[in-house]
Amino acid sequence: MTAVERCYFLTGSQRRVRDGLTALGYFLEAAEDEVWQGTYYDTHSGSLFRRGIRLLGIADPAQWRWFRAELTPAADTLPDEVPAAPPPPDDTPVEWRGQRLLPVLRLSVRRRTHHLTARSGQVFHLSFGEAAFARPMAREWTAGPRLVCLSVPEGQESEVAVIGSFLRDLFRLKPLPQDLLVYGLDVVDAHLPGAPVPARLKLKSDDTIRQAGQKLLSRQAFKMQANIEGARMDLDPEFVHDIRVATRRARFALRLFGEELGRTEAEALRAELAWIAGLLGQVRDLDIMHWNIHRYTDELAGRPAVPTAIREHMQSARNEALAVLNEALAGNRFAQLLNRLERIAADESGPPPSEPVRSVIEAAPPLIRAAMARLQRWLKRRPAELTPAQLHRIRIHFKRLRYTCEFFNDLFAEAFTAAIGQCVDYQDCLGEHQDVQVAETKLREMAQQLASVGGIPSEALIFVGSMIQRLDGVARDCRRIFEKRWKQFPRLIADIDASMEPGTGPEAAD
Amino acid sequence: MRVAFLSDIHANFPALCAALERARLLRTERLVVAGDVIGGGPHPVEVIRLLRERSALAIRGNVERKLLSLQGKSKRQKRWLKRKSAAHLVWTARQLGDAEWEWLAALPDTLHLDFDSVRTQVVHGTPQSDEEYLFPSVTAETIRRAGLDPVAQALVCGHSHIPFTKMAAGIRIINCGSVGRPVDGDPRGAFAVADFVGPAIRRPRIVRFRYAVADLVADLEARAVPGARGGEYLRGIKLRGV
Repeated sequence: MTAVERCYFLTGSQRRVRDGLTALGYFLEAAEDEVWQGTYYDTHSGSLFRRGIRLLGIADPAQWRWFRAELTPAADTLPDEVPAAPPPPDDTPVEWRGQRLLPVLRLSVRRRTHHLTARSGQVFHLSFGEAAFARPMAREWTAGPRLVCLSVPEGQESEVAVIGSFLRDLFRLKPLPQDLLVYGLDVVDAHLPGAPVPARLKLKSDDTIRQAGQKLLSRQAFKMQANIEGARMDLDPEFVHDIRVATRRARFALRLFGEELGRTEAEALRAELAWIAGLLGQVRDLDIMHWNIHRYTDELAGRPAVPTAIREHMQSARNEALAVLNEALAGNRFAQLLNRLERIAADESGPPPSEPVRSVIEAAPPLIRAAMARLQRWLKRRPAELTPAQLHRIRIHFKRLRYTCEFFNDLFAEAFTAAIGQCVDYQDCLGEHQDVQVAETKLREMAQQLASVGGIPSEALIFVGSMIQRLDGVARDCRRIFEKRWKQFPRLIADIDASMEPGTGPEAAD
Repeated sequence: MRVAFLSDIHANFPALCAALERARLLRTERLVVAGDVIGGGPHPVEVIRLLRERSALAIRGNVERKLLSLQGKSKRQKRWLKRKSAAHLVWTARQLGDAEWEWLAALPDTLHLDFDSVRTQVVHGTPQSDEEYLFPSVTAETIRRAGLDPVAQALVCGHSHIPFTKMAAGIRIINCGSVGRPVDGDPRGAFAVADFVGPAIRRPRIVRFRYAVADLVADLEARAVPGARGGEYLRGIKLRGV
């Protein structure tokens, strides 16, 4: 069902609103009493939310249904209205149009719906009721306020706007500041789908370097917090990945702004971040290996199935790594780490500046140039002679250049966006090379472990051999792509340099 | 009898609601509207429906007159409608349903009302034209030549959006100002209240009231009303000709 819905906080009696609307010429008729619980779904990145689409599934077997509301109907481009299958009863993810939809918020509703007929004959639904909210899979509900909600089939928005004026101005009901999903997420203190970074954490050109460092660190702490729940529930592998990325960026921010934030604490925090990054990496490496093995298996002659022994071993290794990670994410050490990150990001005293305070807009170009210089040193080497470890080193330098550009992109009117894209290309190519190295090592270890606990089935051994051969081929391809791309690197340097020229900053954008 | 005189609501529903609430608190018994109920604002339908529900005694202003003329389809009218300054009228006309058009068409140009034993004439601009203005500087001579109902003791008008009340040529002049689009530098809405006791008009006064200007400005944007400038409402001034 596609509908536009507007909700208002109900103050005073329902009768006042019902009688008032009747006096204005509407005909109200009580239709049904409803009690149901539903779950809002969205992708991990919040792509539905960003497009103004709200997807609510009611899993009750007797009356299962999907509701789809569009806050901005024109923005909708999805041809299919709702998933065809019933929503899962246990808030597990849903596959829909090649996307994985994850539970975002649970909603419990008790309401009485009225048919509201306008003089024009148009019929709307006006419901009076109460809503309660809960995080996915949580047992406790948080009660919300009494609400009046008006919903209408798509295409009749103008009359809804008129009734909305009556509710707001005449009956003085305060509109819900956002829609029910956003309101509910706020009630249960959860992040918006996709966890968009709050505007207050955007860099401004007159921020000091210290303020910039604090904002960048806050962003990473925010991203880590936003993904903990999903990672712990193992809703989607991307939650672990996002915490890992935030951890890496936080470490890099501490490295970049360590002097301004207090070197001793910054180093201590970097060590703690390395600890959690290690645990996240254990899970992520196995996820990548899992995907790659399935992907490369499809490319092997005869497309053999992944042998059960290998599959089970990988799954059990991941479960173990995830259990260790979960324990860490739920533990005191990680909570303290987040507290310390937030403290350092909020600390207004800080160490005394060792040199005159500069604004971040002045400080950014030297930092970006330093990141480029680290990569330029490798230009002297012939790419064909680089070892896997050296390629991995170059990948890390690309990552740091990318992070540095991303950190300051806001300040330069997003002039680095194209360069960041190119850094990502280098990173992806070298990343795949590194993933292949990791997968090879892990496959060998796996074969050894299986052999040591009572023998490895011959089909599994043959599979490991073929896979390692295939991985070698992938590594060669990656190296070839990198060597070709590496020739273009001086142009990337020139582009980034040009983006920092006067005239490309925020003043130019104005 | 205490009467509230409103004018120039200009489709500003939050302002109308605030005005009616203030009038209720002042215990007014009748509601009279001196034209320009709609036009320029985002809520023409809401304003008409509420006035109809409250059984307001209303007349048509120059905006309603022009709107009603849109129903004809002469070449001259079509040409006029293409002018930028007519865009908000075209927009308003598109919002209205049959019931609203019917209400508008039934509005008279002027009202002659007897409150207790006081004859009161209600016009939009002046008795002769809905496009002429009565400002606070109006003289007795102007009133004498205005073509007023010969037995009227009070003249209620609007149109200028500048509220005032004064005696001129023995007639009580009450300009209600504007409920929904004040232009005298005070962003608060305005209307007039007067007590009619026997043959006398007592304490005619201008009432100023605050309303949710931010909601109005948001609706102007959300409903894409042509030519609307939120700043005018926020500052209570006119930035260009209406």
